[in-house]
Amino acid sequence: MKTKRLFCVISPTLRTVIAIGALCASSSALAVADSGSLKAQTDTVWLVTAAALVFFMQAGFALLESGMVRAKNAVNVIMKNYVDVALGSVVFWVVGYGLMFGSNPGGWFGTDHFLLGNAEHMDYSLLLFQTMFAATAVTIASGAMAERTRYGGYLLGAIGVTAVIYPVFGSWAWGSLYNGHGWLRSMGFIDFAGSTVVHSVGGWVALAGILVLGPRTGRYGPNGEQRAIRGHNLGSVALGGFILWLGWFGFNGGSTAAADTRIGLIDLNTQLAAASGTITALLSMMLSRRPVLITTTVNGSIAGLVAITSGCATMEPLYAIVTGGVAGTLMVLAGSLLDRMKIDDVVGAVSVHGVCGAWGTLAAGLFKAGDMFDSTQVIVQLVGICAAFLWTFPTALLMYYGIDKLVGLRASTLDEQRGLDYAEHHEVGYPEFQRDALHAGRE
Amino acid sequence: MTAMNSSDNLAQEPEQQARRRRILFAALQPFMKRDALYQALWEWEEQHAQQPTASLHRFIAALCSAPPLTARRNDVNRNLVMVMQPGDAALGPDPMHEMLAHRRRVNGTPQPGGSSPVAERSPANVVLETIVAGLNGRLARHGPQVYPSYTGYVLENLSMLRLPLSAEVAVASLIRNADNRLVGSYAPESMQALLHMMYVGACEYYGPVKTDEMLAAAVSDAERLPQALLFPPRMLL
Repeated sequence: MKTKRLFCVISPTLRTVIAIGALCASSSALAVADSGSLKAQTDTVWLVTAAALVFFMQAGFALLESGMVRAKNAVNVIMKNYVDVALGSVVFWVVGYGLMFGSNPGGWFGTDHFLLGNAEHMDYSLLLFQTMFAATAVTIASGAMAERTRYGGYLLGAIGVTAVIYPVFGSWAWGSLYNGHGWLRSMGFIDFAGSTVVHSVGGWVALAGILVLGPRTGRYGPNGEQRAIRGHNLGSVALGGFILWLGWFGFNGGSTAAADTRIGLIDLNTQLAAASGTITALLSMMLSRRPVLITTTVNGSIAGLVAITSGCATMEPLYAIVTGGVAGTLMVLAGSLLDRMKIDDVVGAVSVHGVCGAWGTLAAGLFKAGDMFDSTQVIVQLVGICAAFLWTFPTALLMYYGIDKLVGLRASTLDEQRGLDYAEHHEVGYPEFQRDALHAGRE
Repeated sequence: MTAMNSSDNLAQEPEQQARRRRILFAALQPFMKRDALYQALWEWEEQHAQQPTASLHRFIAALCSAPPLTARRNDVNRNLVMVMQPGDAALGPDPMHEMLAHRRRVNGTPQPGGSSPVAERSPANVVLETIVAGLNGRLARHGPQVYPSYTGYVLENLSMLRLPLSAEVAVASLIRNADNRLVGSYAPESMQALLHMMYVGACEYYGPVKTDEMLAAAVSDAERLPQALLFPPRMLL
């Protein structure tokens, strides 16, 4: 009676607060009672959200890569990015996921979980998340091979990468989710979110592609002089860089595959490495008395992001800065080296993803918290880096060579002249602004 | 199906060739402007007419892979079948006469029999001369030191165009700037191939960015000519 009277005299606001408190308390009690289920639900929500963030990275790649090419090839680059996600998603569901994560008793590739269906809920979430990773690995090559690749040939290559090249190496490092371990994983190889599994693989595929293609017409002069072919939309490059940076919080953070407290450190390391990559790329350009280009600056941040992807969960923040910083400088040096070798990488994918991915994987071994500079770990990391190159590069080289011989990979010089937007897709990116420059012989 | 069978059975006698031209003309007429239609018929005549098996459908498929017919392939095929159904009597006359007139108009070839007065200069030739002069002039001004290498490249590769000797000599004179007038008549495909070869050479010696800029400027020069109304310069790109 007394309590009832007391309840009547307290203010309505306070009554609301008490009611909410009671509700929360009962919810907590329920959660405790069913904590396993709640954990699974929260993990799923985080994994699917992270998958969406990684998917958003495709928009980043599309903007960044299309901005770095001439206006007459912008649609072609975006189409490649758009369609390889679509093709890659289906192909990865059909064969890639099974090869990568299916039961792997021999350690070399998965043998089940193809055409995934009638599975556990978490399997679906993991497939979704890993599909985005596969799409990322594939799309890396599109920018490097831009402005002189036939659309059909590129898409065939994308299917090959998603179906075989990426998942087989992935099974060595990350397989299996069900039964058995990939041989690299058994050795203790650290690649938390895929500096090597995703990015180096993508970078080495890109290297193979551009070697088969050769440089764009006139990119290098008869006496070996390098001719810069500037992108047409630097705003889009910067926006693409920002979107990739944002997406990387899902890429690395989501690789916990669970909503746990490590995500804070992982994403902090991600942020710091990107920042230090940007800064050292800037410094490298300034110290070498080169113009401070926005394209190189953006690539510096991505180099940092690629590098930290491997060790973001096992490194202290200071070393994330070191890892990203070294990556920013390496990216500049590797880009110059490739140019000197007349290897025409339009967006710098090989230096950013291939080289910095390898460096990041090594850094994950060097700077592993609590076990720094452990020589055994470093050797395992080196084995993983070499294995990625030795599997990916020759296989991709063979694949692109075969595509070139069978269906054609290199666009004709006439198509290069007209621009691949018109030659491949019969449309142009900016019809209002390209009236004067449009190379369109057919009305 | 009807069209396929008919085209399979078509022999190579002149009357059968004329029949196929009449079918094509009637089938494509609703979808194409006159000039484009005659150009397409010439392409058929020169590249497909002698091929016996299903070439009609392959030609239609190739034609529909480019604008303006990209979205209308089904309509074109339907019309092809429809024009063949009523029989030959419903088809129009052989369009060869108009095709020849069109080619003369485009290339400036004198009328057969030499009855025409001094022929007007071919619009196509004037357009090509203007583009060549505009591109080469700009390249020479931009990088005089590499210009001889560039023209050397073009002259060296002229034989790849497989022009008749007299035409090759005329084009070489134009490239060397020894003559700023192109004599003779040339198929648009040969002109396009010449310009493309110049483009590739310019890319090699001047870089693709400068080449794109200069070619666009040269095309823009040509588009200001009155002859551009008769022969659009972008047909050569």
